[in-house]
Amino acid sequence: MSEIVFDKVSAGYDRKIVFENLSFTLEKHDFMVIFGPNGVGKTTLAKTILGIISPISGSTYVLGCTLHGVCPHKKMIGYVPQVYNLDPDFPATLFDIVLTGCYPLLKPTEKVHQIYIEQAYRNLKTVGLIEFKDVPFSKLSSGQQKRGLLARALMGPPKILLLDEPTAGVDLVSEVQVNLAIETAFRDFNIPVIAITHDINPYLSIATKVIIMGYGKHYAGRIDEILREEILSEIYRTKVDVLEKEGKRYINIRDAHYG
Amino acid sequence: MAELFGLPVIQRAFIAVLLAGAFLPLAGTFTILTETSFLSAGLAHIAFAGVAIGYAFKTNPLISALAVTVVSAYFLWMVSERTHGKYEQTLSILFSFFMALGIIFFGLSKSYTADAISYLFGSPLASTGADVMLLFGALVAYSIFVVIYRRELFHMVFSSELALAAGINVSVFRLLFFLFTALSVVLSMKAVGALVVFGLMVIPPSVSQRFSKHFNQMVLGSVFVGIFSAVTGFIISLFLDIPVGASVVVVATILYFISVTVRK
Repeated sequence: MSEIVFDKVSAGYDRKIVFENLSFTLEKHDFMVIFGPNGVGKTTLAKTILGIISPISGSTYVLGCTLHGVCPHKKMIGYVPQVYNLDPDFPATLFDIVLTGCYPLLKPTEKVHQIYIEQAYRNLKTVGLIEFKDVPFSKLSSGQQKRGLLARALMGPPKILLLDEPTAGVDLVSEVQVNLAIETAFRDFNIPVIAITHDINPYLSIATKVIIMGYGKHYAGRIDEILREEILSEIYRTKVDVLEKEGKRYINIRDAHYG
Repeated sequence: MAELFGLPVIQRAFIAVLLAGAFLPLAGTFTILTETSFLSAGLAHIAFAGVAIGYAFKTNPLISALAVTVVSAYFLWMVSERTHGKYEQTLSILFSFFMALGIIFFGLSKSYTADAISYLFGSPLASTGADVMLLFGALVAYSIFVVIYRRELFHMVFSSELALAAGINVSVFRLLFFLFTALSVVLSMKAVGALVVFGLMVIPPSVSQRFSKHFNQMVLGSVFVGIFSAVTGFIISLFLDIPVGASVVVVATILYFISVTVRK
């Protein structure tokens, strides 16, 4: 059975539709990349998967639950948000933040089990931040914070990992480190990953499925079926090349005026 | 001094100030971490108008203040839910409106000027046994709420989006936070005064934040600094015969300036 099934789903805010008639499935071993220009509804889609917003129409099925009504599936999705505003003096270490990932799995009066503490250590090793565990979270670089939130999202462990712009606002070196941590998590945890991004290139070697979202249009399916120049050019409204170099594919978006 | 503390009226006043010194920073910690400090300032002024309305209509001023402040807090929460947290404009309007109402109603009932001043600047000596019991009950209720739901509260102050994604009912927790803030303001007003309630909500958590590495530390530290300021301020006010609320806030402010000179 698929982990996620979206059938002709439309979603938005205050009855204003952001995307419509989107259908896709996510299987257990999929690495799905959702990408497209700004403002096409990528984050809205993430919030729909999480159940934060309800679909306006269509049917949804996430980890055995429909998204309507009370559903425990939220606790099974490890989520890394796009942005978070943090007080520079926020009183929490990296380890504190990673541990919050297991809080939804505990009853209010239940203590944090040793198993979760050990898991937090392991996850920090996975993302390469174990030596920073006692550093205040707010003092970490944005790339380290993203990796910390990835370690947090892997608590449980989750049944799906959902990453919203995991490398937004980080420098090039940190971007490589964050992407490496995501690849490691996908490989080691054996869970499906959904990565929402502006730049698909870092994920082309591991992605199995893709949703390309445009203004009023979207394409979803296996990466080899969808990642085609004519589709990308239509979505970005400019010439897009799908190139291959040393056995690796990458896309190049050309400026419409200078291409 | 020992003789003074033997008097029931002083004992009641001391307990009232001590409880306010614990309650306000506890509620204030969450306003600091969610950057909603203006909520406590606004609610304090709204509560003052509630007192004035009580005097004007010859009802218990504490009950009228509670009614006006709790209803306002609920209304602000509704606005916050519909505007994705943007309620400050509405709060500013309510703040001004209720201050105007307070001035009008106290103006209409001229004989109550002394009462108005006691609520503005605090008059712990006027605290009754019922006032102290109410304050104690509300503090215990809020403390139990914080202890039981500390993880949800921590999740929310760190990131409400992550809390939502984790299945926490952020909306209900925010409502409880608004209502407890209203409760802490109204019930502490008689002990320390409407004008300095805000100070006790903001200064002790700000001091504690400078020394806290963990969320639990900050919460406990805020309460500790609040109680220390309340006790010290109360004793100083007895010695110097000055208003208690002002004395407590001056002590807390001195602690804050000491904390900024000491490296975290």
